[in-house]
Amino acid sequence: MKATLTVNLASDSHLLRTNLPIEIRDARLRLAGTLRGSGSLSLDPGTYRVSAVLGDGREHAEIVVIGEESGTSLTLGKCTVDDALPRQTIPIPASLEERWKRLDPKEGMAAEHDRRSGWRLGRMLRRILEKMFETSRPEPKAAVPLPPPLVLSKCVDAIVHGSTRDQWGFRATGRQIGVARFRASFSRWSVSLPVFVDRCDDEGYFLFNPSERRADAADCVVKSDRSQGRERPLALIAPWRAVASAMQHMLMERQLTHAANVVEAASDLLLYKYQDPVAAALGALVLHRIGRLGEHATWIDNLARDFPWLPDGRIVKAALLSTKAGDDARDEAVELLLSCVKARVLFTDSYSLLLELLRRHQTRPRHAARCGKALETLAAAWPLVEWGLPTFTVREERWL
Amino acid sequence: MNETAELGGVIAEDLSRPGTHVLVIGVSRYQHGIDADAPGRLCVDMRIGNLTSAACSAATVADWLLHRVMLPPLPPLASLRVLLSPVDGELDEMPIDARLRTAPRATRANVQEAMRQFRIACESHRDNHAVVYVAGHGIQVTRAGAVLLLEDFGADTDPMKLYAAIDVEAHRRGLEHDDAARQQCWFADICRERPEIASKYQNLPAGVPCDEFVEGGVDASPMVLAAATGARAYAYKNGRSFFCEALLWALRDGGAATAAADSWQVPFTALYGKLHARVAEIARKHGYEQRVQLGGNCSPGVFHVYDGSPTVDVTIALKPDAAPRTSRLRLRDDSSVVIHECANCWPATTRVDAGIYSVEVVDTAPFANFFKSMLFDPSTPPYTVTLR
Repeated sequence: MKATLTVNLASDSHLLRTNLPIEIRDARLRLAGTLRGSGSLSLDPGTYRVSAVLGDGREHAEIVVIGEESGTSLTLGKCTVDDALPRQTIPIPASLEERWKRLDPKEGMAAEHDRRSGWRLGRMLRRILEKMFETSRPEPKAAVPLPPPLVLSKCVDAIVHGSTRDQWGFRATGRQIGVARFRASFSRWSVSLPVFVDRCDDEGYFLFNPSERRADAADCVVKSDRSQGRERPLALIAPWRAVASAMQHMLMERQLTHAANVVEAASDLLLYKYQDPVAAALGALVLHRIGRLGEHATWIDNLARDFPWLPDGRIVKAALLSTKAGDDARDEAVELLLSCVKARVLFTDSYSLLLELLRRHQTRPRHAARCGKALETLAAAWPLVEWGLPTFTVREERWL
Repeated sequence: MNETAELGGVIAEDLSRPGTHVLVIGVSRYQHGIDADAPGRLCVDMRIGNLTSAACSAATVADWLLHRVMLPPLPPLASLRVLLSPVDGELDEMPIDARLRTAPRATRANVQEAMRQFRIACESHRDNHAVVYVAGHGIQVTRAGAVLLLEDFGADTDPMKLYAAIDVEAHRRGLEHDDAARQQCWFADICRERPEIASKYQNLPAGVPCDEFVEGGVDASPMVLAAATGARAYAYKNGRSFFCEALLWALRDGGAATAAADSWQVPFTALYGKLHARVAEIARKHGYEQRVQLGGNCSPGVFHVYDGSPTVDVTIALKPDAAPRTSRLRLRDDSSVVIHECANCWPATTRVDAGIYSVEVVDTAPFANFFKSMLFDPSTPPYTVTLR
C-alpha cells in the first residue's frame, strides 16, 4: 500500500519553486525518489529524509514519517535570504514613482540617449534621498552609540536605496557597473555592485522601466560580513532577482551543480532574453566552471557583444576562444582580455579568470609581451583583492 | 606492464586497460630555504623555510590511495607515483606503507619526469581516472590554481625565478583534452605566500613546462584548493595539514559518503561541500579561518565507492543537568527494532550504520519522555537531548 508525499518548496520565485531538484531518501538513506520542483510522489510507508538546496544556497531537509492511511504534505525550508536584507527605509516619493510608471519606452530611450538628462535624474533622486535622510534622522540620544562597522563613503553609477546601520541597498542609474566605497577602522574598499541593468531593445536603446521591478526593493545589498574574522563589505544580489540571487548563494556555498541546474532551468530567460545581464554573466561563469560553456557559444558571443559595460562577458568569451585551435581564435581571445585590463569587472571569478587566461596566453611567444604587461598592471591590485567575496572588491589603501 | 622506469612508482604501472593513475607530491624540505646553511636570495625574499607537515600529509594521502578498495564504476589503481621531500624525521613515526618511505625527492628534475610519465599514463585510455595531490609552499595567483614550489626552489643560479616550481593549474588544463583521463580530481594543499610577496611573482611562468593549449575536454577535472586566494592554509605542527585531515575524514571515514542506488559513494559535489565545511570547522576550532576553494571543471563525478554503508559513532548527551541519570535511551531502526538500549549511560555512545533512527528517552519523570526521528550520518555532531 503506497501513500502520497507532497513536497512544496518555499520560494517566491515560480521558476525556482518548479525547478529546484528535491531528493527523497529512505531510512537507510538510499535514494527513494526525486522531484523537480514542488510536486508529489508515491512511496511505501516508512521514514524518509526530504532535502533540497534552495535559493539561499543551503540544503534544507526534513525527516517525515509516511503512514499507510493518508497522504503527507510538507513545505521544505523557508529561505532566509529575504529576511537578511534591509527593507527600504526611505520610500521613493510617490510623484517620482508615478513619473517612472508613466515613462513609456520612447521616453525611456530619450532619457538614456541623452546621458546628461539621465545623470540629472540620478542627481535629483540622490538629492531627494539625502534630504529625506536628513529629515528622518532620529534625535541623538544621551548614550554614545557604537560606531557602525562600515561606513559608506561614496557611490558611483548607482544610488543608495534604503539603508540600515550596517546594510545598504543600491539601485542602478544607468548601464554601468556601480561602485560603492566603504571604510572601516583600518581599511577602505571599493565594491563592484551587481545592480539590475535592464536589457536593450532592438535599436540598442535602454529600456528604463523600473515599474517592472519590485518597487520597494534595492537591486543589490551590501552588508557587513565578518566571516573571515574581520569586517568586509559583502555585495549580494537582491532576492527579488531570484535566479541571480540563488546562483550567487549557491556559488558561495560551493553548490556548483545546483547553481548549474538553476542556469539550465532559467536558460531561456537568462541566456536568450537577457532579462538580467548581470545574472546572465554570473550564469556564464557557472557554465564555465562546469565545463559547459561550449554548449552556449552563440549566447556567449552575444553577451560579450551586447553589453560592453560588462567586461565579465568578454572574459568568459575569451575563455571559450582560448580552448579553440588556431591562432585567430586565440588572438581574438587576447584582444578581448586586454580590453578588460583597465575595466571594472563585476565578479571576483571574472577577475580570477582574466588573470588565469593572461597567464596562459603569456606562455605563447606572440602574446608574451602584451600579456606580461597586462599582468604587471593587474599585479598592483592583486594583493588587495578580497578573493573570498563574490563581487570584485578591492581594499583601496590603509585608512588611518 | 610499462617497461620504462617509473619515477616514484610505488606499484607496477599497468597501461593495458583503463585504470586510476595517481600522482602525489609533498615538499617539506627546501634546499635553499631560510633554514639552509646558505639560503637562496629568493627564499630569503619570500621567507621560504622548511615545513613540517607537507610531506607527511602527502604520504598519508598516498597511503590511503594505495590501499583503498576500488569498486565499480571506478577503474582499478593502475599507477601511483609519489615524490616526497620530508624534513629529517618527518615520516619516521608515521604509520605508512614501507614503499612510500623510499619515494624519490620532489626536485624540479624528478617532478618534471614524473609529470611527463603521469601524463602519458593518463592519456593511455580515455576511460582512465586521475588523481593528483600536491602539498608544500606555493603561490596562488588566481582563484582557480596554484604554483607549487619544489625542493630545489630558489637556487641563486636558477635561470628564472620560478624555475623549480610547477603551475598545477596549467598542468591540469594541459590534461583537459579528448585523449586524457575522462575523470580527474586535483588537490592543491598549498601553504600560500603572503599576497604582497606573491604578487611580485604572479606574472611569472613556472619552470616545469606544460602544453596548455589543447582542444577538447574531459567529463570532470576539479581543482580543490586548501585555502582561498591570498589566505593561508594551516597544519598541525609536526603533523598533518588541516586540509589533509579533512580529506581523510571525508574519504576514509566516510564523512562525504552519500547513498546512491546500489552503493555508498563520494560524489565530487559532496566532497567539495563536506571538505569546505570540515576544513572551516577544524580551523575555527584552532582559532583560524580557512576556506576551501574550488576551481577547474567541476562537473559531476564519483570520487570513491564504498563496499558497505558507513558506520557512525553516535554520542547523545542529556540536558538539563537535573534530568534523571536513570533515564533510558532506545534507538530504533525503520522497522521499529531496538538496535541500542541503555540506562544510566549518559552521555550515551554507540556505533550504528548511517541512517534515520527513532531516538527515545523514557523514564524521565518529572520531565516528559522524548521521541524524535533523527539522521545519523558521518557528519552528525554529538547530539544533546533536552528534556522538558
